[in-house]
Amino acid sequence: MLFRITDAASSARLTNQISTARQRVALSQEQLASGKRINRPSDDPVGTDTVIRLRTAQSQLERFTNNAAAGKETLLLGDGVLNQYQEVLDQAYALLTRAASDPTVVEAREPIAIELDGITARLQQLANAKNGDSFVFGGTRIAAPPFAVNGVLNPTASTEVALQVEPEGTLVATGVTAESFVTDATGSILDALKAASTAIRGTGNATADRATITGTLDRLPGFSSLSNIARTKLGERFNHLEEVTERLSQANLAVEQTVQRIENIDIAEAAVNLTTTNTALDAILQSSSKFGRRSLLDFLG
Amino acid sequence: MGVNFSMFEIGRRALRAGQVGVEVASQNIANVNTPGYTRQTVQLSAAVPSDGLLNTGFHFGTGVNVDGIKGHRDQFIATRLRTETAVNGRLTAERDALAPVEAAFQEGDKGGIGAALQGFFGAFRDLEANPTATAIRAAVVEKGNTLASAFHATRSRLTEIRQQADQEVRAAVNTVNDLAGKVAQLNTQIRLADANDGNSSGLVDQRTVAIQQIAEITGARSTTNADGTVTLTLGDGQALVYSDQAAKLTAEDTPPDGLATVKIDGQATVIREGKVRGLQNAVAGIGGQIQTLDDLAASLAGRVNAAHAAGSDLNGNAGSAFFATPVSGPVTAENFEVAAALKANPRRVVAGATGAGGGDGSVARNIAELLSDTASVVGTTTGSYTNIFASLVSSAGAAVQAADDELVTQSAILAQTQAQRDSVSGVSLDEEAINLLQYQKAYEAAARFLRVADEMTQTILQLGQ
Repeated sequence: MLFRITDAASSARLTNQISTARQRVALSQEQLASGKRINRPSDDPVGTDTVIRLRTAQSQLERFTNNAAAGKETLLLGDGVLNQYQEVLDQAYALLTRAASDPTVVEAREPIAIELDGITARLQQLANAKNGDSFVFGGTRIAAPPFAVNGVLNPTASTEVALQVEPEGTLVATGVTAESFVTDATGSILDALKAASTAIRGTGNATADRATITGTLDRLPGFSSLSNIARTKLGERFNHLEEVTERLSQANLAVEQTVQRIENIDIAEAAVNLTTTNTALDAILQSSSKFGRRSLLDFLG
Repeated sequence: MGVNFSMFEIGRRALRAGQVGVEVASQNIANVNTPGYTRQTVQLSAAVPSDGLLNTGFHFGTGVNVDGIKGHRDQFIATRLRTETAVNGRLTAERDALAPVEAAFQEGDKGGIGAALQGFFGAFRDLEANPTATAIRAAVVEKGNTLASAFHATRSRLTEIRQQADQEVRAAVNTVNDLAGKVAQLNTQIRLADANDGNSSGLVDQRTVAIQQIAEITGARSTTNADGTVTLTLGDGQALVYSDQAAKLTAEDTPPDGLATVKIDGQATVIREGKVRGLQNAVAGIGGQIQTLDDLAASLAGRVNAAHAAGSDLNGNAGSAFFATPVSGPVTAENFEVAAALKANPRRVVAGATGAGGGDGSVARNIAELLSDTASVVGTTTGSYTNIFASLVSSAGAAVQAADDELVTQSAILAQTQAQRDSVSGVSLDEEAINLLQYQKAYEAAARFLRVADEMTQTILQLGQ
């Protein structure tokens, strides 16, 4: 059986229809204005959950990217210093070769010794190079440089600084310690060069002096090799960080695309929705103004 | 053949019937928009015929009787309407109370807990790469302060929203007491009116509206008694109104938060439906969210403090707690603070392990990793802080969405039930216009008939002159 349609019921239905239509228009307008499909968690709780997680992941990716960039900078700096160190080491080799083959008198060797002392000081300076507050080859030890002023190697143990640059990733060392290239099985390069300098100047025991000079000369290729190994490590680590940076960039892009897909609206679709909902509202308002609330009383005269 | 005056009585009755009919239609028209009004109709019947009038042997009618005025009600629909109104009241209250909660959690570009968590743990990630930098330590402390502010602001907002809901419960209790008193009073008036054969339709309408309002607030059920009174009972069967007696609802402060517990005449009661139930659900839900927020703050402070205390600061001193430990009670989102010593001297922020050298950033790394460490325990939940916070926000959204969805469905059900009620009890102006015409014409006809009767009487009287 059909209901009796009363005036109150008609009014309630009309009010409800207008209210619903206005809500739809408001929703379409809000989405179009903000450009977002999710403007509050209740718009899509699951989507909100995903977006929060992805935004956090994205923030972490950005931090990792920053760390990787900082690591690359440190590695490049280390490589540059080691390049200079290698050049100075080559000069020391040339000088010692001359000293070993030069039979001149002791007085004539003095300039060679002085030059060697200068080279030793430069090597010490390069090994103690600083990057801001820390030492390029100081590793985790920051309180004092690798070599003390008197050239004695710092006895405090140090390890390479390592950074995490990827989620769940292994640590990547962003440098090498001075110990790895300034010492061999016998001792430090500085001690060796200082001994050679003393020998060049002459200790009164020509045979021993010659042995010291040639011994140091023999050790220099080893130090050079250690320096090369250190540079190779830096280069490899730099390449690793380059790859990581690329991966982080791609991951960041993928996360951003996913977030946008979940969070943002299709502008064209939203515009069509707004038009449609507006048209529906107009239709309800027009029909209600034309036909609403008429009764028999209007026609009785 | 004598003068018959019975025609005048028939005419008088017909005029009276027409007059009452027009009055009832007018009353209906006047109340077309009155909430809860029940349309009325005149109850007419043919008067008892007389015996062998005019010695004809035929039985003539004696006109029309007005037996009464009837209000059109359907008890079944009225009960359904009360039930659906109560459900609607609960869902509306729940939705309205919970909607601000999701706003409290809403993550803007900055300012929310989510962004603050990212900033705080991200600062430790920066410190890992620059373990000797004092400026970054200061930034870490600042991000800790920002996180603390975000916890404070969100908890404070949640507490405020819960307080507002609680205040609404108290206000609703007062409203129910007023309405219950009114129903008890109307019970008495209706009983007396019915006993005196009066028209109690208007009083019943008033009572129905009051009962409807009580149902919307408390979900109270009503039972009609033989004497015309109604008994209202709450969810656990306790009577709110019985005959002319109304019980008193109270909202009493309950420790530890001082939130309202609803009692009836001092005894505990259960309200299972209606606005009060919705508000109580919302209060409980918000309480759960506050607890989760407190648990999150406590867990986070505990794990960060443990990791931080395991290392050494920039001066080589043993690390201390990063977040302040309250003098009494656990860390909550309310008392979550960066330790004063670190605020005063950021060099006390720990980046590296003890003995590993100032260039070590392993402790900073360990702390940065806590954000996504799935082994974190928050209350009874195990997972990463990111996931737990995301769940907290999404569950707040889901609660609003569920209440909203249910409310849309319930509103449709309520509208349908209301339409059913209106179909029986509502006023149709079309019908009333027809009734007006009908009774007006009947009145005119009766008047005409009286004129004919008068003319006939005059004719007879003239014959005798």
